[in-house]
Amino acid sequence: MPQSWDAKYFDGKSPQSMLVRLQLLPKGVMLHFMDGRSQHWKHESFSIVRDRESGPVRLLRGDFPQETVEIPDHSFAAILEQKGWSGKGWRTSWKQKSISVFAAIVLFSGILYWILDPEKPGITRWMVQWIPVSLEEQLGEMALTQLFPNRQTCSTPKGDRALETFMLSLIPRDDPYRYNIEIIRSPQVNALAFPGGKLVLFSGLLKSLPSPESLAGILAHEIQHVRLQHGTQNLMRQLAFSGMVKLMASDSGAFLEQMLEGAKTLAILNYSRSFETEADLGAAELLKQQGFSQDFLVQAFRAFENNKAVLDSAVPQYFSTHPDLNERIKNLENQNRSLESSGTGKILNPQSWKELKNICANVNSP
Amino acid sequence: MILLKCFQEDAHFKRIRDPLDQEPAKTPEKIPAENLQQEWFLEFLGQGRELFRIYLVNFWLKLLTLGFYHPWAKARLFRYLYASTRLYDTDFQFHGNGRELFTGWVKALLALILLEGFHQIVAELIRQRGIDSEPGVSGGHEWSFWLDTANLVFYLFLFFLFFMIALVGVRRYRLSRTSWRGIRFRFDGTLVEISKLMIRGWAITLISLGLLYPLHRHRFQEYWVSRTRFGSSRFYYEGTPSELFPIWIRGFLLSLISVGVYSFWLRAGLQRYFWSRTRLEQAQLACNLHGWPLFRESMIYVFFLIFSCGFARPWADERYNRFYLSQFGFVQAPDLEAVIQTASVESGSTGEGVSSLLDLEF
Repeated sequence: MPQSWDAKYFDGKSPQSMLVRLQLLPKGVMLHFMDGRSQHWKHESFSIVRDRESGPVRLLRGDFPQETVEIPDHSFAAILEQKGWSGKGWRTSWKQKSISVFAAIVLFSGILYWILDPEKPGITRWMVQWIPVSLEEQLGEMALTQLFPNRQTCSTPKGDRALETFMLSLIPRDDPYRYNIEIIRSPQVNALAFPGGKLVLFSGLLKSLPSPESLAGILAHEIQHVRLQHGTQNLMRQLAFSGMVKLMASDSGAFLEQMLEGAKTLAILNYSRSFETEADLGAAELLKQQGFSQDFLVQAFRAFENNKAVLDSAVPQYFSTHPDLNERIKNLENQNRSLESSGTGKILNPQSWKELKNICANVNSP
Repeated sequence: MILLKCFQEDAHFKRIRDPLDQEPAKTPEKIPAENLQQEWFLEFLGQGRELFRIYLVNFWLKLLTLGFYHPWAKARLFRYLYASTRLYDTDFQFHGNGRELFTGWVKALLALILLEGFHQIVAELIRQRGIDSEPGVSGGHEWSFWLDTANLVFYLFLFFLFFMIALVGVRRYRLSRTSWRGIRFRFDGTLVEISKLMIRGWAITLISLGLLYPLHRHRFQEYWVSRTRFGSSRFYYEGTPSELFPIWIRGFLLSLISVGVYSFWLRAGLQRYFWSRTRLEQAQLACNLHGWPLFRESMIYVFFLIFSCGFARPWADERYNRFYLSQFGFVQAPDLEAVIQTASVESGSTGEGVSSLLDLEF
């Protein structure tokens, strides 16, 4: 094996290069110039760089101006590795690679588990409490506009007054959120809660409810989704997931970004089983706190249980994405038994209820 | 393979009809092949498998560190890409490192958090005082609308400021960390000057509905090039708005008509023009980029990505860089004897940090 190599020397003061003969010494290198000069570089005085596997090895000395010696011969790199001299750009050993790959797999699995298992919302719940209410309001508004850009909102003066009375009696005075409910003309039997306090009720659901108490139960449930920041937690999960996908696609995912944008908005509303159960039980407590019967939500569930026309309809969306109805009724009844006797207050008088039910009378069918 | 062979032959380019070739021949844009010194054109020597290894390691380490490795990943990639770019007989070198990029990233993140926090606090204060921002709604106050508007304008101003910091900062940092044959590049532009130039340029463009955009583009190019140094040597830009105007107008209108397809020809035409009007001291630069090869290679790049879901990106990058860089170079060899290293201009990496955070690619 040759112990000297042809190299190019740059003094760092001009771009002119000089041909040198580089000789490898036990603790450094010796440069022999064409004009007879020699320079000795101690091992600790220079760094070794090889930014490209098929490129030259560079020895760099000094900071500014920096002297550089370029050795294109690949056998020089092999000798350096034998001597145990390494530098930037050198390949990591198989052992180091295996450890990092194994650690990455473990971490990746852990993150995937956290992201994909919505039954364990501990970390996200801790994180979302730091998000200001105003930001949640903006998120909710954006999501609503994105999902229903051309919505027809129902409104009549009497219906709005009835709704305002309804909401005032349902929402605690110290609630940090400013609730804003919209009734959208649509045959969908559904109600939605967006981050920040935006609630949406479809006229299809309003029409199918038998009493204001059952509506109170449904809205109490949706209010709990807002108070417990379920939508915001979902969004945080989705952001973590899309961030990982972006990492995997090496930032070339403009196409993926578009796909993920839509998924993110829908993901806000995709509540897990545990979120639904939490909202159900929280709704019962809220109703009791406001002086109403905890059974309002159970009344709503029973009304739908018995209303085959609704369940058999083409759009039973409210219940199609929710846990089993019987299970929910059972959970609520168990909780209600353990709580003190509930209030017997009436949430809305019959006249106001009628006006509320007719709130979409002035809006044409879509 | 057939496609690869095709674009290697200069004769193939000459057969392709390009309206921009019919420009007045005051200063030729299309340099005949026999006058080009090929060794003074850029060459990309990187390989797909080496890039794949870098991307893969970067990916896993970024995952392991929940993204904190990103600055080191970027530095590693830059080192490879620069070292794979050769001019004449020497590769470029990138002297930046992950620690610098991370510091810049942290500074940018802190600044963004502070400013975003300030913006959110103001919004929250307005909200907590029970002020409804919509005038005319019962219980609302009209002046709160102006408060919200002022907050928004302030927010937009901050975004503009960050954009300028990224624009100038990225160029200054990257050039200061780039060397060829041991000599560092430099960018002497300042944030204030660029900001004034951009505001004036955007205003002119807006007022003229885009017709005077070439004037802004010319001024920007002149500033951008004339503040760039290679050691003690300076770059000069000698274009004029009147030469640029017909190139821009024709390209812009045809791009509109062709729903953007002609934009490749416009881009190639602009590059050829800018490079043909730029010199490093007395050495004239050259660009042989044409619309059809640019369009073809760009489409191939996109197809590579789509059909491989991003996994073939290293090979797509190799192919595209090899094509693109080979179009740029010098008409004649620069006088290296006249170049000397000058005092380094210390440049922080905050601009790089901002560009990373805002996902701005320059």
